[in-house]
Amino acid sequence: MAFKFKGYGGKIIRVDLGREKTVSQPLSSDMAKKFLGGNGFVTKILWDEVKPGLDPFDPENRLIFAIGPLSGTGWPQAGRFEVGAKSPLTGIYGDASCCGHWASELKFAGYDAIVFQGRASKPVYLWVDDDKVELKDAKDVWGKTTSETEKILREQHGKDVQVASCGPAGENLVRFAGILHQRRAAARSGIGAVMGSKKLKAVAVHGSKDVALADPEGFYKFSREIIELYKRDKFIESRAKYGTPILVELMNEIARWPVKNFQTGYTPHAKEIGGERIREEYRIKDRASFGCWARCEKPLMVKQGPYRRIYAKQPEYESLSALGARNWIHNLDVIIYANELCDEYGMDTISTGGTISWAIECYEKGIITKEDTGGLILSWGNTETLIELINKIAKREGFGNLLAEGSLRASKKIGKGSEKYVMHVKGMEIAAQDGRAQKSMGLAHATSSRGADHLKAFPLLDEVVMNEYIVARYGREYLPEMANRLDIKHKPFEVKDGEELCALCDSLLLCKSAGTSLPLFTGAVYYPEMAKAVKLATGMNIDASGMRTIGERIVNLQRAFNIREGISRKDDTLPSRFTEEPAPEGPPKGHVVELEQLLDEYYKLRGWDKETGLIPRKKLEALDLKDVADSLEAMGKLPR
Amino acid sequence: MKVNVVYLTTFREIVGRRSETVELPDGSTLMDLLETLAERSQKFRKELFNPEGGEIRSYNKVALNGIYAEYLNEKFATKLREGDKILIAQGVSGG
Repeated sequence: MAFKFKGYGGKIIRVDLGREKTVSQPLSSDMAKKFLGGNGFVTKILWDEVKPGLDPFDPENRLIFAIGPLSGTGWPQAGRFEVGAKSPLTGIYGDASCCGHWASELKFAGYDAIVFQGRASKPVYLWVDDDKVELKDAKDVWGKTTSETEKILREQHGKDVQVASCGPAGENLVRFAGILHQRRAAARSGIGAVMGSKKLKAVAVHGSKDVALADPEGFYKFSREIIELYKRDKFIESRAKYGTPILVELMNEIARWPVKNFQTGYTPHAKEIGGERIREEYRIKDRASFGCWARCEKPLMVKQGPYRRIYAKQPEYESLSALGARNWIHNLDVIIYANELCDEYGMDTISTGGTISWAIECYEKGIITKEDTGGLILSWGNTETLIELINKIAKREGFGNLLAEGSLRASKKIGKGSEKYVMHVKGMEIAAQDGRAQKSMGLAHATSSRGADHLKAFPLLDEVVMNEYIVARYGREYLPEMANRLDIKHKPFEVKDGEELCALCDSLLLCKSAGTSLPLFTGAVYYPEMAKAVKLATGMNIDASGMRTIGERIVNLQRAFNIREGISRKDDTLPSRFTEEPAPEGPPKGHVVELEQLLDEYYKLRGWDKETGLIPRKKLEALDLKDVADSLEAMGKLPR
Repeated sequence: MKVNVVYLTTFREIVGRRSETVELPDGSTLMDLLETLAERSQKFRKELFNPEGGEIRSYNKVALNGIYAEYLNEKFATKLREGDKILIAQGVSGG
């Protein structure tokens, strides 16, 4: 029987790897209405099926791939897929998303999600070809890098097949391993290690079905209107021209650019690795994902020297930070190579670079010595050591075996005060935003459901002073303070609102970077536009307010999952470098993150208990999460 | 008085260089500097200013020593000093 709502495939694939069984089951219309798709589905399934306290490498952990009702429709910037699991890096809710053509292909095959459980007795991959779903022996691809795996599986199954795979790092249970597709990474949270722990190498998909829409004519008319707005948007123009590396020099100028493990936020060398230089000297062409108008992927050529490469991937802003300035490396050829290594091994560049920079700072301070590193000398700007450590981490060799645990676990083994230099929240390495230079980002890192992360709230309105957009979205009374990145006023509101918007984006699999949180200049897609697009695609009549509620529901259910794992206010914190050490230079000089003040206001706005960060029953019931309240109450995890 | 101007994004392409030192009469303001730069190139002027009213387009960002003009007390009327660093960029955010 056809699914109640259009736009969806209407089916979920369930895979029990231990029993080697695959089952196609109908998607619940109630789940579609309450969670839409993507990280909504991931959150709901993790809450329902992963028991508290479970080791993330236990076969009973779930690995969930999910798409949304706009996937495969051609709706602009809706080309992403979401993957979630309990994270082996943080021990709490984990997810990551990735663009490309995998999501649309899964929709063409007629599915909305794939849920893996159990552990295979030998390496396998899942082959989905429309209604044919089967586990296949992965002996030809186990041990291969991510691009080799894609190439081999495409040779076996056809060039139109879309592949998402973990690399050797995932197989070796590197706790920050990711999942790659077309050189794009669902990188964070260590989901690639969960994939490796299940001995699942890849998911290869081919689909040939149409996507039915509730009102095709209305949908594509509206879609074209949005595309026209995007085409006129100056942000899209610059993103299309340069990609995310265009941010490097700008963020450096406002001293928000992490340098030497966040010891400072500015370097005179940023211009050597910025987007303008990459475009001028390295770029070959532009590439886009399914339905993408920002085409921010820029294949590069390293023309000469020991790192010469004919067709390399452009490192993102985050990777230029993590593998570059954070380790005092400004040799672009080396960073491009290091970035490719991380992608081929399947490792999150942020956690890789963050963990290495922690080790270098500890070495600099005499906490880590040559005895710990097996003779390796760690120092800022040491390009050979960077490459060697990436290789050793992925293979879990020598000192790399320790770093493969992530910086927090590694510091607990090293001890001797090394914990102080771990730049993390809840075990996740912090991305390329120094919170002292943008207070909203400091709070966003502290409250993100997957541990330190900028994309769960993505507060941008204060990043480069977006006065007009603040007025349009919230009203003139929020100026001038909200636009001032060093003023804490209104920042808790900005973060709370951003978290809900981003949760909704991740449930619809919209690109936040160039879809909804941005563009800021046209404000093309916000709650009303998302509600309209979903209605035209699916027939579901959810208004803008209902969309906002779905975002808030997802944020609260992720928090509930984390509360069940023992998370409370004590964990919504930042490294002391951000809260006690004033920024040393540039516009934020003298600033710290006033985190406790920010959190007090944030919890109040969220309706959470200020003392504990727990969620009251009343709030959960208002979000139609009574069963969650009952469960938390039984565990003594509701506020008193 | 000499100030240092750094161009990002489209402005770097228009000007053809990353940065330059610009000499201005003492007492010049931030807007004086922008007018001086716009005088050299109609393309630069068109990208920087709204066609009517002479205001900076909202998606363009100008920062003086890392502080966006909107947050300077005198905004674009702020007087420049010897050695100031001025950043001119277009349409960049999100990371």
